[in-house]
Amino acid sequence: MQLKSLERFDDVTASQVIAAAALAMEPGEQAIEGVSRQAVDDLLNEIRKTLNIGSADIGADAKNKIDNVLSDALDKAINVERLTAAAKRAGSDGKLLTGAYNISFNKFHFKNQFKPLGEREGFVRSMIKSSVERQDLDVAGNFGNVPYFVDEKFGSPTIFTYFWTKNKSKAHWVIIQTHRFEENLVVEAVWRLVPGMFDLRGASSPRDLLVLFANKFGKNIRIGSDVGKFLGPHKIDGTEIKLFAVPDIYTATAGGVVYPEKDSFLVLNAINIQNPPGVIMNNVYCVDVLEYRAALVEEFGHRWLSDHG
Amino acid sequence: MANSPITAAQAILTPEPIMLWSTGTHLKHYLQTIFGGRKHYVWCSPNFEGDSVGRYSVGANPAPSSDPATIYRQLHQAVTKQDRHDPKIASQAKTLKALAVAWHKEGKIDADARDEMIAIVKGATIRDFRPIIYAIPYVLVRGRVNTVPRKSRASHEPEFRIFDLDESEFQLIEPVPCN
Repeated sequence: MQLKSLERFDDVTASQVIAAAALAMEPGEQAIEGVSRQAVDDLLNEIRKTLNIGSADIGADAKNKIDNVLSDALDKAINVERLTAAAKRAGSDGKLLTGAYNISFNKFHFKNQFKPLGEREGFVRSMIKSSVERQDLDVAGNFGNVPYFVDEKFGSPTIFTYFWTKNKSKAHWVIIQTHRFEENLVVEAVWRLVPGMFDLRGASSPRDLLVLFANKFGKNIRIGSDVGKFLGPHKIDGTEIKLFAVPDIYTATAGGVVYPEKDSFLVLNAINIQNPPGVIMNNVYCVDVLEYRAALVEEFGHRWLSDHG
Repeated sequence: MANSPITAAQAILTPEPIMLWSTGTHLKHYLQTIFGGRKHYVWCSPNFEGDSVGRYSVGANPAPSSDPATIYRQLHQAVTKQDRHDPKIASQAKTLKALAVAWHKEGKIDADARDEMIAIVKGATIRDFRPIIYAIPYVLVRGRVNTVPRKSRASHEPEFRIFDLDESEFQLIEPVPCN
């Protein structure tokens, strides 16, 4: 709806008048200081007149119609480019609510690693949307003061958990690891944790579950002088990372990651840093897929790998 | 030390309730957490459900729009039915976007935060409007409960609000997930 009463204002003032009108429709909401009451009344009167709603009509239907016009006007009050940029920024920062993200899959990994483990894209999507918990991590970790930029390939990690109780299978936790970039969530890994296999008492976050998982099914990894099955933040100078998976050696570069051979699945988060150039790696673990697959079969039976989800 | 003066709300809330109750949406709670400095503005009532107290008690006859239990049921039904056009949800979305502009005008958030807040509301799904219940121990907020002026109330029953509820002063309850 074209609102003529706003034409005399600049964009900022117009948005404030619309907001003040929107709040004036709600009992108990306070007026916005500095916004002309006359301008608010003029706007509400114009909307009422256009919608053919009497000035004394304060019924639910009338309010709903006016609300819709004001809501639409608020959407248009802020410049589209600003809103688009804000959505991307909020997405990268992990501020967007889960339903607002576009979910996609790292197709190569999903097809080659997770489909053979019984995972299905539709199931994973629905688990993300109805997840019990979500944890957004900052790759920079302890290196938070180092200037860095997140690129689309690596993004920042978000971990979802869902407690799966359906089917005749054993109740267990599903951990879905994604990387987020702008408004996109790319699924990188999906793991199942059957509570009986782990001591969950000390776990208080999705990342804690991931650490427990890696400690059970992971291979040792060495970065610099540190060796472990789940490694936290490490800053590596230069644009090339040397990542060692004992006993084999894998190499990851700032431009891409070379994944280990078929029976291992390496997961890491990385961001590029500048001045001096380098890479920060975090949440690094490498799953022994054969061992994990054997555990799935033992817990759920052979059919699990082909017909669940 | 001199006792604090009795507030209008304290005068009405006698004997003192153990708890105050409020129903909000997950989205509103989230935005107040992220952009509102973890301070929450809530309307609240000493009774979760007006029908559950004696008919002559304070708070026994709230308007449906002020009764936490009724608000909870309405929102729960709208979310469960995926009714994006439900008037209460449409009104909430509009109000949250307006608050983004208001908070920016008042200097509480910068222009980027305003835009992000509006972008988040625009991108919210119906599930993000699922109802949550604030359980607020009265003893923690006794001196900060305000009465709502009659012109802003939906009925003759007294209504209350707290402008700066801290995260440590309430528990959130989501009794029945909206499936």
